[in-house]
Amino acid sequence: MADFYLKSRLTMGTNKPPDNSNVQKKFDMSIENLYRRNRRFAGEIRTLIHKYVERLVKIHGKDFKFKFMNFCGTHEWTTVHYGIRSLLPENIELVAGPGCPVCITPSFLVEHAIKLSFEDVRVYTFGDAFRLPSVKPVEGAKSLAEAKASGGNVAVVYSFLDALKESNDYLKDSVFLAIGFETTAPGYAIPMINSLIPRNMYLLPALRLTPPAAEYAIMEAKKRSMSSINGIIAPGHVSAITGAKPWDELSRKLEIPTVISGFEPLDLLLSILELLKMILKNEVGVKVEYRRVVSWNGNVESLNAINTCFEVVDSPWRGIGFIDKSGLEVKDTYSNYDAFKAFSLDKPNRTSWSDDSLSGCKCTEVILGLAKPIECRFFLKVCNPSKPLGPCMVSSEGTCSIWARFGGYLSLKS
Amino acid sequence: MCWGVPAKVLKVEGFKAYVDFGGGVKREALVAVSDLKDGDYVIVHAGIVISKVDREEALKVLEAYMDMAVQQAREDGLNEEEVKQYYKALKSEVFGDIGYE
Repeated sequence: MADFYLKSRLTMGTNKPPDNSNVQKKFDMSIENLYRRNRRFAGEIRTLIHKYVERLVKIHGKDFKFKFMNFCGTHEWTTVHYGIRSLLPENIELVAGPGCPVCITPSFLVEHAIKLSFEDVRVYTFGDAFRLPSVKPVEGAKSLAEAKASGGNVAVVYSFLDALKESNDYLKDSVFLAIGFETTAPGYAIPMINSLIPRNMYLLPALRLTPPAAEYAIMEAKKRSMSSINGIIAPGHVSAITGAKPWDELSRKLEIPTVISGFEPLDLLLSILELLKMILKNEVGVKVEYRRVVSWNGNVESLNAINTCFEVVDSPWRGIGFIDKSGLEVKDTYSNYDAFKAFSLDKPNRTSWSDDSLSGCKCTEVILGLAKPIECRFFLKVCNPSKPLGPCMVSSEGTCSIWARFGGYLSLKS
Repeated sequence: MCWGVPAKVLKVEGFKAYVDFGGGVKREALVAVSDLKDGDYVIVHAGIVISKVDREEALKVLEAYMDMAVQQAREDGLNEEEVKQYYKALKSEVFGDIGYE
């Protein structure tokens, strides 16, 4: 058996002579495929993961579970779509944390947007937020899609740039429902500080920050005395903007090893291996697996732009409530772009905040990684991707939507 | 919406860049990185160029983990000659298509 294993290692590889002509061109085309279709190497990494778990089990006991949490919808997508969970030993559990900006956009912002769309203000939005339901209906409409169907002025765009171009020609007042995490924020900040936004365009900011939510989710699991998180798989594209530094601080504060991971299947496997290695060595702090994109200091120009026109405030998250220093709001110096001021929309504070989750819907628990979608009694019964009830089923990045579309949940049930 | 996609920069015009996601279709994106050049390989996220992709680092990371696999092979009882052979085979398997040395 051992011989067979060793032999299989020695006979791998096709030993093709490298074709040095056109290397650069080939390189461009295959750089992602190196991490996406590298099956044989993924097999090797899988073997390594199993070996590391064997070693850890000797120390911690046979029943020890390693719980790793990711904080990006795309990580969950990769995990489910490529079946990463089925490759891992039973001792490793991958959990999806708060990582979808659409799922956590509070209902009151959607209600404001619907109301404005009926008042002849054009509301621009990303495709994901178009179907995001509000809790209370506004003039009969419970989402921007329904508002558009009943005559509201709503336009779906791929990017903020497209909305800028359109509203330049539109001339009447328009509002952009600016949802997103740190990654999307420079897209609003850079046009703002460079005066690229036309005078008739306002922002309805729903920008949120990931590290505070990560901390909240982990503390919440502790509070409810559930098994604690042993490792953090940090979002690669958020870190491209913020840099690895905030994750290092968080990791040292919570004493949980953290790896910033890319989004291809091999990236995730390598990150899990790195986390196991860190646990074995009792290390905390951050390691960057996604070094081809993420640096220690992040994207400094973008961070400067964000700091110039946004300030960090305590913000409400859907179903969760206020989290300290977890949102971005337009600074007073740039208030002429702020839709809250321009249309005198009201903002809830900690005392006036009321829970905006649907009763019976487990979206809040799913977002925080406290429950799996299959534990919700609506999942794939009355709530499915074509007719979503809760916010997690709306966005292509929502955990429920990913599980419903790519399956695998039945085998996970046992 | 939060979907970061690798793309190639075709042309940079101030705050705007024309990028190709691989389908041959030219699309506009907002530039959020400094000194972006034509031909750079970037990550585009919701219409924003958020970062350049570092080719060298992409390979270095894979090499580092290849070393880990080789170390494991050594611990599993391969002799030095076999380890060398395994490393060579692994390298040609991983980087074979690119011709990276």
